[in-house]
Amino acid sequence: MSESIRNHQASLEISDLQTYYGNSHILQGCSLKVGKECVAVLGRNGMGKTTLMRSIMGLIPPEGGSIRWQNIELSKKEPFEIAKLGIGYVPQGRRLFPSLSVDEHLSLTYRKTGQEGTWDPARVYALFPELANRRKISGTRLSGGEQQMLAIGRALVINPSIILLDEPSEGLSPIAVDLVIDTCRKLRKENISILLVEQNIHVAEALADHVYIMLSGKTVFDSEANKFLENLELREKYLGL
Amino acid sequence: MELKYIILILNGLTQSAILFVLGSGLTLAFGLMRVVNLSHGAFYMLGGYLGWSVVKATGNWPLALLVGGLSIALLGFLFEKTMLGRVRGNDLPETLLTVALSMIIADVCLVFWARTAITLNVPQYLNPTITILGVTYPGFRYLMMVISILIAVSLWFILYKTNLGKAVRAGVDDRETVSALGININKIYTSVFMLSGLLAGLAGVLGGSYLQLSPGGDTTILTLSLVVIIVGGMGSLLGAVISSLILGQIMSFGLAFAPQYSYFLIFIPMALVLALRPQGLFGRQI
Ligand SMILES: Nc1ncnc2c1ncn2[C@@H]1O[C@H](COP(=O)(O)OP(=O)(O)OP(=O)(O)O)[C@@H](O)[C@H]1O
Ligand SMILES: [Mg+2]
Repeated sequence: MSESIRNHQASLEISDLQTYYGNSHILQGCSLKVGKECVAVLGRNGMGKTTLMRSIMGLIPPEGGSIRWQNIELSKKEPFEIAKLGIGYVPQGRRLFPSLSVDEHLSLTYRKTGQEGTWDPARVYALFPELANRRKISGTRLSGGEQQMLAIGRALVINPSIILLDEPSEGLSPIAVDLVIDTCRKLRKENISILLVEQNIHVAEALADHVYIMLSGKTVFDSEANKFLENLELREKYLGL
Repeated sequence: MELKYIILILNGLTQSAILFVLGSGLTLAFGLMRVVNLSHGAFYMLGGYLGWSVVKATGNWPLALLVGGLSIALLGFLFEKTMLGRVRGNDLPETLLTVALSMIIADVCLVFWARTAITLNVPQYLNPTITILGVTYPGFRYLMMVISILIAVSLWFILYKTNLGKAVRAGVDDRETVSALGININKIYTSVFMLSGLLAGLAGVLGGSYLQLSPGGDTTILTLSLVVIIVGGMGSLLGAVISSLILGQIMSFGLAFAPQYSYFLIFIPMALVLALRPQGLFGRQI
């Protein structure tokens, strides 16, 4: 996508975000835009990618900068308000609820809208048939891949316009990683935007339209996904790959 | 079995009934909010005293139960909404606030109610003498057990069959993720605290009809409820059931055979649990 189209269509626009954990200054100027596309944020361990996701969700409210979503400022809002504005969150490590069954994970946040094409539990089961056979068991007793599907399903039933995925391939078998990629492509076909954090360069390669590089809490570089990924020098410089 | 022992067991069950209603409220609130409400004992007292006044004015015990429960539910709602909610996540201010509230309530009780021990009058129609298999026992105590069982079933239903319950259980697991999924966890906290107040108020009316209400009794009650939830496991409903059953029997038999040590005896299971299984019988590691 060309830069001008990205600017024009950006629905999530983050600029100069500053976030602290106590006294440590973690995000020190993070800026990015997401339009109707998949944007990947890449960077090594501990660079602040998860902190960025948590800041967007209001889980650690940023102390400076702005997060605009469909022209609404998010940085002073509560997490539940942010989610209700159509932002689905799939946290790193999935964070399913051990006390809830698969079914309960999906009905927890689902509210009937009565509209055509909304994501309800039945539609999530149609997308992930392997979950349908395991409705009654605890979410945390699924395999890693199934857990990731459930975490995505749980975010889908709030019917988001964008979904934040924090390292969805972490700890998964190659087959499960392919399933994650496949799922994300389906979501893109439904016109759901994706903000993806990844360490697995192949997932980013398969999905991203645009990439940002994060270094010590700053977004230091961004470009069209192909241009970056084909440039071995840049990859070596920022990711050590 | 000798009749004497059967009566002691029944006394123990009556005691368990009160302990459960008392402890389940505290454990629910703690499990979700991670704050030990140190005014739980005072809630019980105030509920009991309010019930006592209702009985005195109207003679209507069921109404007293309702008023005692609902007024403490309202108090819990207001306290959570206007004060506790403001310092959420800061353990020390949270705990201090609940201590302060308990002191205020205890003083208010001193102003409005007797400085001697009082007991709620139970009307005769709720207290028929019941004889089962040759064992004669006051019907009101059976009624207390039935009420306690109904409360346990209702709590189970709320926790496992309603949307609120789903959100509560998810919130106990991971409150941050719940809120990031679009659920207003603050509302859930308020509801649970209100429910906890309701249970404390009900327990106060039940306990005040069986035992006594007296100035300073709130600290004894608070201690008892803490023992119930430490033995059962903080946050566990099943744990509250089992530990109330155990502690009720210990209190009943202790009172019969070693009255001078009976209060002390309930700390033995607590010490054992803390030594062998610190998370409690049905608690999970925190
Ligand atoms: N709860 C916390 N309290 C204090 N510091 C934290 C906390 N969580 C993370 N940090 C620090 O913030 C920095 C960024 O962490 P973050 O989890 O955002 O990195 P990341 O890029 O997601 O790493 P990874 O790829 O390992 O998931 C790290 O230095 C980390 O030590
Ligand atoms: Mg991370």
